[in-house]
Amino acid sequence: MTTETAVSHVVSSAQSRTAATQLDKSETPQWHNIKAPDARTTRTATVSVPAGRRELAAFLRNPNALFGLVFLSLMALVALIAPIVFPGDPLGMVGKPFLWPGQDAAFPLGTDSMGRNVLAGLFHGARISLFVGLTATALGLGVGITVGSLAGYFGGWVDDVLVRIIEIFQTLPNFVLLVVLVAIAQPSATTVSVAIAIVSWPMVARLTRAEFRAIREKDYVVAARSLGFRHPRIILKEILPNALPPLIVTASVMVATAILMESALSFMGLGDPNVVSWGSMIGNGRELIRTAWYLTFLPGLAIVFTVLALNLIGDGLNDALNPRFSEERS
Amino acid sequence: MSALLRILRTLRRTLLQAVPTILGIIILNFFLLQLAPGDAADVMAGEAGSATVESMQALRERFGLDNPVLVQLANYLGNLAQLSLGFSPRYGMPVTELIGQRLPGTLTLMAMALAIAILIGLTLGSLMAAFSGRLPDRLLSIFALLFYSVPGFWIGLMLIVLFSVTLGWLPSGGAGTIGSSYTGFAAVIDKARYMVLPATSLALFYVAIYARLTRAAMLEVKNQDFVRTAYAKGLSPVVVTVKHVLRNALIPITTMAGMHVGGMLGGAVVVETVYSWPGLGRLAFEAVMGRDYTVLLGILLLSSILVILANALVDIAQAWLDPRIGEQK
Amino acid sequence: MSPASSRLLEVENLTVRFGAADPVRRLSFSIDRGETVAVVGESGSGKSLSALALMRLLPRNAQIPNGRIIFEGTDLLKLSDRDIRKVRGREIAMIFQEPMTSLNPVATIGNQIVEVLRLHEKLSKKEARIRAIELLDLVKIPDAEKRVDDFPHQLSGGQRQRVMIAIAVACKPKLLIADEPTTALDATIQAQILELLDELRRKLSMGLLLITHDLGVVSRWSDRVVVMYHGDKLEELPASDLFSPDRHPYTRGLAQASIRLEDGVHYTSRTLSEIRVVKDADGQNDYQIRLPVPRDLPPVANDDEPILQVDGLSVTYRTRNRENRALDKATLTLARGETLGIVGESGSGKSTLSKAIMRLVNTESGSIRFRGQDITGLSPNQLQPVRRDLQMIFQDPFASLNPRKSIRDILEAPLIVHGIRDAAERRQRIAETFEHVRLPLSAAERYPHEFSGGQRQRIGIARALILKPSLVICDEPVSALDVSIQAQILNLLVDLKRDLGLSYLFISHDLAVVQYISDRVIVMKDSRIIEESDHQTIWRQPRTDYTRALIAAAAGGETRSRALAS
Repeated sequence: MTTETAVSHVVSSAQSRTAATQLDKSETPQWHNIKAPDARTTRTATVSVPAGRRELAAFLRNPNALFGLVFLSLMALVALIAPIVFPGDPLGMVGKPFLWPGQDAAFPLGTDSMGRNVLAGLFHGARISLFVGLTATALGLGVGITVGSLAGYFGGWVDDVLVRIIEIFQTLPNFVLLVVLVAIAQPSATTVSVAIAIVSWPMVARLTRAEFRAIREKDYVVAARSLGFRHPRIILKEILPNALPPLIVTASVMVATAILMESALSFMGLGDPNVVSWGSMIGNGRELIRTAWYLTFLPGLAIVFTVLALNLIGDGLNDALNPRFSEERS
Repeated sequence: MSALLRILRTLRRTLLQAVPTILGIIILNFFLLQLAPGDAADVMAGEAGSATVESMQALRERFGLDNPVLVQLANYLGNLAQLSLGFSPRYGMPVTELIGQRLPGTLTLMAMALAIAILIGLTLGSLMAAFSGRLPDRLLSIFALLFYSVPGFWIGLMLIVLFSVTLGWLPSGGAGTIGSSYTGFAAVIDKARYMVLPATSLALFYVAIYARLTRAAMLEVKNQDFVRTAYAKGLSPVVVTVKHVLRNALIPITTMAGMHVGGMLGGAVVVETVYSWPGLGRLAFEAVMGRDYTVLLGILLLSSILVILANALVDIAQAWLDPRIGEQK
Repeated sequence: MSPASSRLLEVENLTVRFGAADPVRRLSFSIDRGETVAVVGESGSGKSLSALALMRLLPRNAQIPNGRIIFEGTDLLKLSDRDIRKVRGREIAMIFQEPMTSLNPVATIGNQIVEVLRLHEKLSKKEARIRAIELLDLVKIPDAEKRVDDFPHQLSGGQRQRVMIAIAVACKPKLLIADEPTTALDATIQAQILELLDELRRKLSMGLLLITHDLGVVSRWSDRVVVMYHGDKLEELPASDLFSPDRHPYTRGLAQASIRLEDGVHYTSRTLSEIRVVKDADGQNDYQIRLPVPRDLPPVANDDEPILQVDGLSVTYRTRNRENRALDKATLTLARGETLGIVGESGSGKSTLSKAIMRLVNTESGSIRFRGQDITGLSPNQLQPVRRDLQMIFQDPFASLNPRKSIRDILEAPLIVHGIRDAAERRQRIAETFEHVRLPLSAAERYPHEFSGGQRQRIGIARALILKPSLVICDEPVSALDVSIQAQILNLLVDLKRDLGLSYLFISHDLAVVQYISDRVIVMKDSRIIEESDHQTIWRQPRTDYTRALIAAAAGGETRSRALAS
């Protein structure tokens, strides 16, 4: 655990990058060690987030992030209107099998070996992907932040015990554990979400813990203690808001990862058997890649673009919330 | 203090810390096994086709399945101490042996993928850092992000469509030409041909990760005071990058590389099913399909131990790279 | 190159540009061979950027739109990248402010010296190593032969700065630029490093460009001084004239605002002058010096019970395999209305002492009596009323305010926590406190990053005062501030003490500051209190060698004359 802080530091820094940030480099020199306090003032000025307006503006000025946001909104809309546009079971047979995209105007993206409408499948698949992505992330964040903040804030034996548990879960290979959990619990949208949360919370916990350990030592937290603030107040009002930026970035990456995991599970036949999912569509189409490769290609494209959109948002958030790394983009 | 001493000290610490982790994992493993629907008797009865209540009871007694949980845990630990992970009725052989057969396949695949990922990732990341903010960086960054967003199984299938189905250059699955009598160099080439696609599919995601990581780490190090000292000495940018930046940047990169070994094992599960690669991943897939939990949990336990070993390797690499690690104080 | 010319470096009209801002404007000065020129200025004066510009080491996003840097007849700005690299490290060398981070952590110090030797002088590996050991000897690293294979983390800060100097002088440069070379070091080490630099300058007949904020350093170690403010050079003068009266008003203000140990100024006798820079109607800077009127101060109450009594207090920090006695049997008393100064270098335990008194760290043994009550063993609940009375001011005004809260939130939270439910009353208290620390009420709705360092420190003081404490622990409250701001804050602290009847425990590494503000002084070293005296005796008749060494390092008046004589 000695490299802990360094690791989590890189976790957050690793999530910086890409994206043509339009953030102005301002006048801040690149050497961060020029100790001129006015240089520091500008620096802190860009780092601190009172109302978040500056960050929001920076985020919205970033074309990549904006593209991600628009595409993701579109996907959310698709998920919402799927039952209206394509009422009825997307798993039901509706047309001739093996219609290629464009072959029949009624099925713009064709049909599969069972005569199911591919477009309807994609629409309904968005529902399960986003549901699992969001639920798993919310659960994982909840548990991870709670455990991480307790371990990081209190230290001592609380930290020792919690770190052991985090360590155990981080040692178990995520996806293998996920497969085991889902296989044992029997797949459904809920169990898949919970299982993904179980494998993803340790990363959040670790990151939160590192942030809390660093912020705990800051003078404004010491000041809060010397003013007689209680632990819950210090944790929730003094430390947590300052620990949030990397967690917000992590959240978007977690949704992306959860969607990837869900699709991999469904692809292997470990998804919810009662609903159509992008992964299961690919799984069903894989035996036919020699003849009808569009059956694997199209749902894969849906996954790639959704996940890409989330990662673009993550990068955009990181650049906006953590401008230190954007300064290099001179 | 000599580097060797620091490395040994680091290794000892790592292994000592691993003990409680392994114990925790074993116990977790045991309880997951308990949670699994049905027990070995059910499975065997199912395999046999018919079973009476009496014969089931006899089976349970024979395997100690009617004992209290703690006794079973003790038995489980006892078996583990003898390196026994149980018996797979489906395959008709001990799980340890089964895993032993499949392990080399997965390890080769992972080693190959890891080599590709680190090599290309480091190169791309260094390039991105060198051109940070300019066009090459932006283009490469978008590619990295794209690779980062593509599911491994899908890229695997798409590579098959392109290179096997359409172009016919490479085989679409398996680990070698069946019934071939290649020897020597030809055999290696044959093996390699089968390995290219799965290793690439597995590596792409990690190429993206390492590239992004290298870029971030190098940019971070580039801003350090000692880099400015190096420039003040009159060193050229290339020398500064290679001698001062890269070595320091490698420290966080190795840490992260170690953390991704577990992830890569998971990736191997999916990729192996796509390419019918005879490895642990494929075994796991078959075990899931056959609801063979003994095998499944055996794999989980073994892959955790692999991760711990990988972490130990990373610690050694770090102690070698960073003189501050493993100091006595 | 004519050997007759004594001019080494000539800077003409140098401007440094970042985007739309010019942090250095049309700077001109020169350095002769063997001469020490100091560039002095507060933060934001552009002094460090000027130094980097000379070596063309500016960040990539900086430009030099005009100016010439003539070094031995060649304009450095016109050299190709390749040619400037032949100048760096060989003709002009540089050392930096942060010795802790300026060396590559994964390379041995020997190899870092060898690297520059092999680059500029065609030496074999073996020869270079022998030279490296000689150089370590030259910069007075003991056991050079053994230490040559050490890594930077095995060296102390002072030793690392010596290694930096060894790297800098390895190729016998003609000009050495030292950018705040001692700011990050303890006072005793500071004097040694400056002495070493001066000695090397003479030995190697180098020109020395000293960048610093410290007027004491300037007057002691340099021949000529360039004073900068906000990118402009205000004047150039012989160092000996620095404290003479007919200088540029800003220089005069700086000189008056900086407190020197040898002047022996005390808060009871004199206020500190404050510099105000205001833009006049033409947009020109107008420099004003303001000397606040001296105030009447009530005498320290010696009769009644001391407000704070610390007895045999010890603190040990424990990590898994290490124990660190951070505070060893500290005993002290503080009378009502008194200011007790605590001086010590880094690691002397002075901050631990303040945290222990605040009950922010666990104490191992000993007792703390505050206003007659033993608070050593109080539970958090029992401590609550005590905390109201016992507050703290922190060193770094950039780290001591939560960046995500408005100033009103920062000041209101303590009131809420301490049970003031009435919003009107809270508003009233905040307004009062703002008045005390001289901040406009409009500041309440703003966020910390919108304020300068000095204003933030006022906010930090306001937070400490909002609960109306009787004892305030000031932990290096002016160490992160510029001289002119330091004077304002010290004046403010004295005023507050009078107006609100406060007592202070004032911690600082800066002897001159402690001398100014304290009624009594404690010296700490290696986690222990080693000396205690009233504010006059301690400087005149120090009892321990360590205190004498501290005073010598801080005053150091003789050091230079001694060096010159030899």
